[in-house]
Amino acid sequence: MSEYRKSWHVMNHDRFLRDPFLQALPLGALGLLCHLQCLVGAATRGYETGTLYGEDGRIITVGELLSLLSMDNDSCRSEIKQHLDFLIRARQISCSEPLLASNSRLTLRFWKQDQEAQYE
Amino acid sequence: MSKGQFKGHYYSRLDHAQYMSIVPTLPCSESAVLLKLLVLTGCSRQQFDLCDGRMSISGPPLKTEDLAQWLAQSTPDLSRKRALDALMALEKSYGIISTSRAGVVKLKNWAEIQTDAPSASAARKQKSRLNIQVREVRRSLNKMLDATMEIDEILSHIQSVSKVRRNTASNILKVLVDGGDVISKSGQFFVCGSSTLDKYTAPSALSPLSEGEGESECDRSHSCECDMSQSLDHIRSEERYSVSHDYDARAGTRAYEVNNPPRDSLRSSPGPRIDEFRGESAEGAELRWDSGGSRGIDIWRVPTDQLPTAACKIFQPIDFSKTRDILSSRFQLLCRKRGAQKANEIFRQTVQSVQSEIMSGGNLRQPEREVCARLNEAAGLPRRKKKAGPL
Repeated sequence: MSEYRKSWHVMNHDRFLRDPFLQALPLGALGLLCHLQCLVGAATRGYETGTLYGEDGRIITVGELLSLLSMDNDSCRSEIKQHLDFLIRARQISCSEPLLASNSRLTLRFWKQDQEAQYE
Repeated sequence: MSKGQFKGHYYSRLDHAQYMSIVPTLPCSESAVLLKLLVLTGCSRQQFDLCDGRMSISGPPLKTEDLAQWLAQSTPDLSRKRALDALMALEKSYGIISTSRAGVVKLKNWAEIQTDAPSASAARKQKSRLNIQVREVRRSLNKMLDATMEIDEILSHIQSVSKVRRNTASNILKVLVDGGDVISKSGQFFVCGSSTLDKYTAPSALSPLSEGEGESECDRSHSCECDMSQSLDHIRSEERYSVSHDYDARAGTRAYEVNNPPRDSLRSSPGPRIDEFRGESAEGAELRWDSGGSRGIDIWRVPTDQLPTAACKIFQPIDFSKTRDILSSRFQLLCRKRGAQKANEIFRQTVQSVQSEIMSGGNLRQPEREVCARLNEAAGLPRRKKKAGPL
């Protein structure tokens, strides 16, 4: 946080409200999206592109994210993976590898667009 | 409000710094509700001008029950009861939302993050830091009296003294110009070394109001905002300060008067503007005594720090020192309320107008009392009742 100046990022609330995919998202996936938005915004890297980075400046892979959020609880892990899958199908995030491979990286789809749109 | 036509209103700011400390600990329903609230708050601003974090879907701000209803309707597997519980948890356990006595729900700190408005305490800290930097710079400028510098030179000097960035240096320069320490003329800056600002930034025993007393937090933050919001072009504007006190709505009149003094003006010929503002004649006399006017003192040529003394010399009160102290405290109060430069002008104008009234036969038994009353009025204080004594 201290390495860059902004303590906020921009979100297009209008799109969130009107996006039919988002409206159909289950509660868990919606909560996960909120969590991912905060993770990206608070990271020291990736806040320009929307790619998920950790506090140490390294990319967080899907496997690492699942371990982080589920605290290595297997049932939680599969549930979170399912939510991630929902988010991918709802076109809210993109994954660098198919089938949410462990070493793939995640990017918030509209993040970069939203950040740039403010300054158009 | 353009009801969302203005592009910026389609966007709102999400304070990830604030939420990152909370969201990882939230259950998924609470974090989903939070996201929905953020979205709805942004849309409420766009559609219904609710800029303070309240939410609406049809115009009036939503109360807890209605909000829970909307959340349940717009989220597939969220019941109304669960939504109510989530709202309760967000308010009581996490402090993200607040509910008014009327039951209207509001996202805390949402409005601040949208506008970058500093909190009152942050504004006070910022102002205090700026005051310290200004004092440092003023000390260094006192060693460079009568120096003339270009804007780049003086900004570089400020940067080197106070170890600040360019923008902060500009802000410091603005304060110095406003305080009369530095005068801008024709793109150049003259160092005067006035101590006016010290007087109103430092607490004074003579002052009837100590720092912050009688002044709301709102006033203080507002004054700080005003300090900080004055743009650099205010300094760069050669016209505004080419005549030292022609900065308000009366600028045109004042500028005209400088070159064409009114017939009843107590001032003699205008003389050089810089010297006039500093109150120093070319010969370096402490006070300028003109050939006309009451007691021969031209108040417009009196140095700022001698204004109360000069006023006393003009009006000859019974208790000279006490009256001088009172006028001095009024001047400092005025400096705090209206800014040093404005206070400077108001004081001189007040003395001049009372002088004029005396000269035109006005029956003013205690003119110094009248000056004091008018200064009180200018500072936003009520007139005091007359009583016996020096004032």
